[in-house]
Amino acid sequence: MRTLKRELILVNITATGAALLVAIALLLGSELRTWKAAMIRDITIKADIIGSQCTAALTFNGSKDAEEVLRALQVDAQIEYAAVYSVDGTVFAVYRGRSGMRQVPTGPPAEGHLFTAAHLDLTRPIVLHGEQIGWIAIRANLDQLRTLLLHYGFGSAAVLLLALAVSSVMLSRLQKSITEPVTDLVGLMETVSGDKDYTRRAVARGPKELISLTRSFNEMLGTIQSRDRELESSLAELKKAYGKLEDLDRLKSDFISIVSHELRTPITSIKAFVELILIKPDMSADRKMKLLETINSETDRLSRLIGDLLDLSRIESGVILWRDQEIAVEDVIRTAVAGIIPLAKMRDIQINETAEDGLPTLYADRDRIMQVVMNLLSNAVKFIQPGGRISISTKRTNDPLGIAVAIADTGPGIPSGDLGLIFDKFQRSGDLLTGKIEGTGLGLAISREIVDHYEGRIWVDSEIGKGSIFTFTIPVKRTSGIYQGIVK
Amino acid sequence: MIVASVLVLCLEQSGRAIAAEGGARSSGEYQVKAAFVYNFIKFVTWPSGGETSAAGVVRLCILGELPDAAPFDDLEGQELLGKRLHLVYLKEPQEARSCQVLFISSSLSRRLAETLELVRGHPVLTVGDTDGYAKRGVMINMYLENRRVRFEINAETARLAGLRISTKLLSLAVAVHGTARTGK
Repeated sequence: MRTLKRELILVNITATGAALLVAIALLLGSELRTWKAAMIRDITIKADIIGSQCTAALTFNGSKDAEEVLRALQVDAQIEYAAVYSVDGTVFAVYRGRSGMRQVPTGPPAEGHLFTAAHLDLTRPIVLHGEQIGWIAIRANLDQLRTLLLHYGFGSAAVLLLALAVSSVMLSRLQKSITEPVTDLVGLMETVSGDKDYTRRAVARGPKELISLTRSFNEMLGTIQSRDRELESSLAELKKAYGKLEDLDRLKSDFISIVSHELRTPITSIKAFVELILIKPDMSADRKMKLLETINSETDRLSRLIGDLLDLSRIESGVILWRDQEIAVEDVIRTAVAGIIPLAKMRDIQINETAEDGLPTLYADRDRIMQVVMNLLSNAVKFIQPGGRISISTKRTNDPLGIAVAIADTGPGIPSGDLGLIFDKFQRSGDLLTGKIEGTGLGLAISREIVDHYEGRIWVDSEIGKGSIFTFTIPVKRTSGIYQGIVK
Repeated sequence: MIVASVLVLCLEQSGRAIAAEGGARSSGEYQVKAAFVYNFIKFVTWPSGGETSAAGVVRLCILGELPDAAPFDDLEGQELLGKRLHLVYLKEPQEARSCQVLFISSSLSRRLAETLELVRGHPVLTVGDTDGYAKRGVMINMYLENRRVRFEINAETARLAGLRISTKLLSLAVAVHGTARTGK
């Protein structure tokens, strides 16, 4: 497999090797040229000196003497033969080199020099006082050149190996600083893509580019991690919302079944009594009156129930018309208490009413506030035993400015498990089926909607056997009140 | 330094020579000697500016009788070193000072000392072909050995005369008399 490290080493060897080979080739070429020129010069000088030495011998026909002169070439191992030719082209004197087995050309070769694979052939004229009197031809072998080339080959190989070794050592250092961070980074990437653990981070090191690469990678990991977190939390929210929706859906189904049940109960009694009267037209007037009264009260109850349902649905859907005006809350409470007193007297229940002085004027729908107070009072009257007490107190609140109404009773109290539920629709403390408890079950739900509308709070403090205290607050919405007052 | 190398001069191969027919003093022998004299001039340098070296002319003088009527006549008018060779037959030794080359024949053996005295200190190359001439002061003396012409050189007298004989020529000589400053 091709790794970064192997690529780097391959590139290095190729580049270094190629550069060195080119350099060596150029050097060798230039060296060869120089060497050849030097050799030509050397042999030419020797030929000229020997030729000059042979002029007298040529002139006086002393070929032995010329051979004596030629023998001086013995000191030069590279000369294979040398021959002097007289001006008519015949061989005059010959030196046969150290090997002594040369075939010498019978006539003078062409003047000048010629490099063959193994020799340099060089022919020079012999001139005496401007008159050519013969030629000298020398053949030199290229053993020195071969030795030179051999040395060059060994030297080049040594240089090449040394350069490659040095550059490899340096590269392995460089490689550590480059490929190790890269390898680490790649390893981390593989780990992260395997286990999806985006909390991992790479250590930034190595050259600048790698450091910025590592940082970018870390940033990317960070982004993925935070997105992951966001995704998880939004998933949880969605789950919660879905749960809520499910709850709401269930509540709605419950609500419908409860409403149906609640509506059918009075209708069933009304129909039964009406049928009874129809079947027995001759019953006593007294008894007939009693049945009609029951029918009347059941009809009232049905009417109340439907009214409450309408209220609730209007409030929830926001189509209710709020007839806000300046109201004195103590008046509202007094009216409500007056309205409940007959019922309370029937059940032998006492009602105390207290109010602080200097209560602020509210800006609200009088009927709705009255509805809240009536709901709470009638609940209290309904749930406590005869002989019990209800005290209703109104106080001023300062933060925010407004009023707080507390209605305490001496009732049975509410089980703590029900405390959070009683403000929901059709939630009544006690057993629905006993029939002992009157009411639609919508009162507290409506009350809460109204208080919420005015940005107040409603809650209950209760203890079994010690009664309950229902409290609600309504802040004074001064600015919005003035504004709405002007509009009206 | 004395060079004692064996010099073989094949008369048969000499360009201007005719093969010698054995015996001494033959006409062929003198033709070879004449060619030698001509060639000697190539290896000798005369001092420049002497009154005897007339411009463009080398005077080759012959003193004494020769067995052959005119062995040197072929040399008359030859071009040599950019100069023309002029052949002069002398009657009296007194005329020798105006020559560059003086060939002294063996017929003058009796008057050799007198003749050499006349040209002493003058740049005149003296050449002979008589036994003992070199020892007596003639600069180049030719002789026969195994039917081949050889020569000996008296470098001392040449040096005293201001003449420079090439070492190449010296190296061909059989024997050199006197002390040559530039001997091989």
